[in-house]
Amino acid sequence: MRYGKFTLHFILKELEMNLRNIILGLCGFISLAFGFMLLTGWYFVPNINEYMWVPGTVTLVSWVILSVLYNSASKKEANILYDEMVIQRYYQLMSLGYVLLNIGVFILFSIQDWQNWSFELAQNLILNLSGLMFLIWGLLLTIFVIKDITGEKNG
Amino acid sequence: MGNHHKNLLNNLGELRKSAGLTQQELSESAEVSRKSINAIENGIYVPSTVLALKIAKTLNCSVEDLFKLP
Repeated sequence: MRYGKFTLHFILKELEMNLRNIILGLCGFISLAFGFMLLTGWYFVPNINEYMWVPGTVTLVSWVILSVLYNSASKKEANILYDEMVIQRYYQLMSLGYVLLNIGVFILFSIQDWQNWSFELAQNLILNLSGLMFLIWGLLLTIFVIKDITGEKNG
Repeated sequence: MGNHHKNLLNNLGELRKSAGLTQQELSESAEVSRKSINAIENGIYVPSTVLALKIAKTLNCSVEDLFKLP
């Protein structure tokens, strides 16, 4: 079946490539939202404590789906789905995440009032650390998806 | 010559078209994504030696025909 350059084969391949972007984009958006809420204290989801399991669960489910897709594909398809350009992008984003996490942890530890340390402050620190990790994880996934979608010219 | 990376001049687009292949067909032969072929053609990405050799083999030419140092 051929509609100009858009053959059925072409469309199926593009769907396969973009399924990863949809899954990672959703995962990234949820993590970003939770990170933003925990760090800023601006909770646009009421009773956020009851939903703290959401970002971790979404990440886990995404990992399972992507792993199944990768392992159920033929070796050739898997190589195409995770080729060297994608792997290089993963490494670059991992480095960025490592730097951001260290800067964030340094700032969070620097602004603590260690002289008057209390359980309440410790609880806030734990929440802020969780928020920072959600925020960075979500940011990296979002950057990956945006670069994957927009990194094409004269396709 | 197409769009170039600052470290690499490439002639991939022209050679691919003269071989009568689409980006999708070339990507499947070379076992990479179509986006990678697109990125190489547009000078966004510099391929590894293995990938450059696979593309050259698919297009039945040498790596030097495809890529040159600026």
